Amino acid sequence: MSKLLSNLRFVARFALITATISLSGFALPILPGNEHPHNDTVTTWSSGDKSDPAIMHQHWNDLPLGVNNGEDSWFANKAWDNNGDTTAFHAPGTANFGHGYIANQVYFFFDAGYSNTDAFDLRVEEAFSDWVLGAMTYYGAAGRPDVTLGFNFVRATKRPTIPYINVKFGAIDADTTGEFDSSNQTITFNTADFTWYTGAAAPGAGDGRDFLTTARHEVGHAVGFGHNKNAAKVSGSSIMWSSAAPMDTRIAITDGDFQGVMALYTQPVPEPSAVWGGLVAIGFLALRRRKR
Amino acid sequence: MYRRWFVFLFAAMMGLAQDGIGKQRAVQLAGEWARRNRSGMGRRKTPLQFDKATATEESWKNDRGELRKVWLIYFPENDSRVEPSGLAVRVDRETGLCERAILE
Repeated sequence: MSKLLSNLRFVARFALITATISLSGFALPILPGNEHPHNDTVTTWSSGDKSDPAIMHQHWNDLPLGVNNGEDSWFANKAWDNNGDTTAFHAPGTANFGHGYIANQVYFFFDAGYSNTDAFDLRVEEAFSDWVLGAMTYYGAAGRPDVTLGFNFVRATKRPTIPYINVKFGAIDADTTGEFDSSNQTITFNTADFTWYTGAAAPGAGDGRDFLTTARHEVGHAVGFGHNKNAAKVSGSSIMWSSAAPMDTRIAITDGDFQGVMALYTQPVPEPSAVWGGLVAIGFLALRRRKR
Repeated sequence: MYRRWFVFLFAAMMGLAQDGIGKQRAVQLAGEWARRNRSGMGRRKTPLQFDKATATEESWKNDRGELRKVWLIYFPENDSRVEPSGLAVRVDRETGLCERAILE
């Protein structure tokens, strides 16, 4: 009887230790790009074709995305790493795809030159800064010691030799305020067909179409997001809405957007102390059993 | 005694009536509007892709500052860009009025 009890105690301890190890982060290996299979049945986020449920995903980097602005789906395009590899995000028909993680920085560059007196240039720079600083703030508030955030975009003073985000101004489709071409990582703002409000302060009635709002949106594409399908822009639920903001309106990047950044640009942190603690405990148990 | 049920029923009917124009009808209206305005559409020569049209519900504060419930209809074209590059039409869910939606 006492032997049975002892065996039961051993099994209970073993289960406890195993659970500790697996919850400690040891079970999440950091592979190149952090590839891992995804659960296709629960669809919260999507990558690639929005209409194809086979490539929709619930999470990235094991971060559940509970809030998601109340949307049924996000559309993620590509994520960045330091090498400028932005295409390994998802290949249709495969279950695994890599996550982004910018250890240092990804550059953006003004194709026609940068001027710190040009309001367009300043607003684009501000848009990048809003994404980076906002994400850092959101990440700080989220309190996730189990993941590290790797997300940074910096203006290049000369044309980079590694892949970068190109910023252009000029004519595109007359119906479009701005666009991001994912094939060559180029943002183009339509300065030919629209009159813009480029002030630093939010526009007032009659000021016109706010450039910073469009800049934040296009930078969102460059960061890796597609459109947020159902967000109502008037309530400011996401910057990744698909159609242009009403006149005289400035839209902010929201917590839901920053949650997306966390999902795309984080890596799990293994906790070696917990792993070693577990191994020591197993050793201790084994020694105790040998004594008997 | 039945008065309160009448009130509920009336409220429910009002609720349904407020939903206004449905998704399919909105796509149809947007298509008709696009055909009528074809000459004003400039370079758009490709036929509208009704089978691929998507409709999303939106609250839209128009340029006069009025908050409206609308359908945003896309008639997509294949393009390498992130967003659909085809025609987007905004249809007022109450009045059926159409206008071209500017994309970002």
